[in-house]
Amino acid sequence: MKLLAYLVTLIAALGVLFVLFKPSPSTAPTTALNTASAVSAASPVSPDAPAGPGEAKPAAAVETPATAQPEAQASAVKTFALIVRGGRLASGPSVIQVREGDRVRVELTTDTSDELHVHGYDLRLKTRPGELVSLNFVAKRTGRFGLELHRAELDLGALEVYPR
Amino acid sequence: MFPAAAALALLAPVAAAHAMQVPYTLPVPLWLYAYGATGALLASFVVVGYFVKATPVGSHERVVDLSRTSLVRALASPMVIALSRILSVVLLALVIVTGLFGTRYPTGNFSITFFWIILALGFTYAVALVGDVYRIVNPWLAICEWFERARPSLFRGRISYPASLGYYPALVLYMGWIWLELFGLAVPRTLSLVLIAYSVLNFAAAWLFGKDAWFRHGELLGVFFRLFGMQAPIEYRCGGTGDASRVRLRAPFVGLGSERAEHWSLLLFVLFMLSSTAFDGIHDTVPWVDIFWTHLYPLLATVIAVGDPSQYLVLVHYFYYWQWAMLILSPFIYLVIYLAFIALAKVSTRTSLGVRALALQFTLSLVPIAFVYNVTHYFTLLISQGPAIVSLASDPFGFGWDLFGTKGWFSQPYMLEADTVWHLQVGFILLGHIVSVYLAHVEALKVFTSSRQAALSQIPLLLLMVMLTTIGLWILSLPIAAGQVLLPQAVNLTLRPWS
Repeated sequence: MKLLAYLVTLIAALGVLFVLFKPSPSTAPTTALNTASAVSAASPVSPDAPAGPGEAKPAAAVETPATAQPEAQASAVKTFALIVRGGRLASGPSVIQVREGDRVRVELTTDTSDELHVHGYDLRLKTRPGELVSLNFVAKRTGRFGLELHRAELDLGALEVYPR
Repeated sequence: MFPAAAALALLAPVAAAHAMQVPYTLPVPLWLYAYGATGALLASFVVVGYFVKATPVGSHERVVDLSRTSLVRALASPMVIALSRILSVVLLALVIVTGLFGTRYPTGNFSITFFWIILALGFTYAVALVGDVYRIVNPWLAICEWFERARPSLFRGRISYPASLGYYPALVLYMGWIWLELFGLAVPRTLSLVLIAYSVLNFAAAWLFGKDAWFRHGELLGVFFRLFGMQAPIEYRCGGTGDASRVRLRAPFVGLGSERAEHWSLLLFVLFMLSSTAFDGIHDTVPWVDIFWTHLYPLLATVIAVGDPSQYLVLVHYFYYWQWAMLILSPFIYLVIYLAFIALAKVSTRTSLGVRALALQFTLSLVPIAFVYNVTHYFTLLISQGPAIVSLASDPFGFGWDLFGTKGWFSQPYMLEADTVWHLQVGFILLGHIVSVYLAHVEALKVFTSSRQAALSQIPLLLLMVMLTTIGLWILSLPIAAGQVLLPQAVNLTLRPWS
């Protein structure tokens, strides 16, 4: 019985701590993204800057799809430009980091015909040599999902969707 | 950083070779990690607080004998046991045959999902709930006993099992198993060949040492499931092999206090349970990968393959040698840390007991931490990919069959949301931590005469467990290195191949 009392006290104490320390929803994703800073530093995700150097299209020039909603945050499309050359990712982030509910656009250029597969979301995108193709979706599901070029069996990196 | 980026890019396809699918869990956010670590510390004090007034009394274990209940009598009937052993052998054969002749595509083949998800994860967690049923359905043991019906002396052993060998064979095989999981080729055929070799080894060793000695000390899965099964609230006391003659209900985890590690090798086995999961968690993260590419690589590059244009390619192999070496060394690193804390406990209590005796006394209290490490790392895989076995059962070879009409069922992986996963992970780790601290205290009360001495002995062990828990949580919070970490400055801006 005494152990039970201790356990109840413990759980209550943990519950109070949880309420006290749990960050508000607005700060949580920032902290989460900061923990991954080593990767994000290498992979600029700002929608206002070109996502990759060289021939990658500036993301700001990207049109939003017709279903765009007028709300401020949700309507901004986060664009990531990836270039695959010689069997490896030549430009663009290897980790795409977004938040739940974000509208995401992945622009992909490859030097061979292939198919991009976003695991978990099970999205597929066919590519042709030298042609820019794009994949638009809403990041509804949180987690870390592999990006793979099927024909080349190339692990391009990952899509990380953090909760809001 | 260019060499690092380029080399990582080159090794990307190899890095994806994880026997199971890559977990989809995100790193735990920093605030939750801090919260979990604080919780562990607080929980420890509460458990210690409880024990301060506890008196070192003998075992007051309360058990309920279930042997007479109709359900247990039905389940423990010779018919059911014989059938489950046949099923177990059939499943082993099916894994081998589908691996050899089925599709090469890992997720389309019954063997990979069954072995790595259903057996290695699902069965492990089931054993922790219902007890070590593996020793009843162990397919290799079942085959040995079938052969013994024709030749009774076949597996009685030619030489006696050397006591000094302890659990080392199981430890070595365990290392091989984890190596295969993390670095082996994730194709079904490889798994089948490994299982054939493992079967031959089991029969040869059972013939040489006798089946009882081998299946207790050498057969990896037997040792693995026995340790995790000790946590279960159900206990089997067998009259003979495969005969669940007594089934008892007991408090969860207390089974770990009913036995004591009898050999260094079992301590190393338990430490490898901890360290291999920690290694799996850390070996793909940015800080870990960085140790090699930022610190070791420049040193190696000055001595190995100097002047060779394909130096990176050569050194990529060294990256793997380094990873393998760290995996093999990991339990020994944990051993040094563990023994240091045990030595501290010895000094603080001024006990006459040796470090070895103390180290072995507290070995099994580490099992819950090892178990929750395992759960936090892999439960999402079981949930997301386990259900696919229903579809694979209808088409085990990946030939397009639909034997039971279940093909295509659960074909979409079921995924938990990231914050649910985070909270479960931290919750599991905290639970394992509390149980381990509790069990270590119970052990201390057995060894030390006064409760004061017992409490003193627990301060170093408490520090060790807080450390293990914090490391476990910290690993969960580390950013994961993707298949490749490519830095922007590594890109040659002047190349425009498509313009």
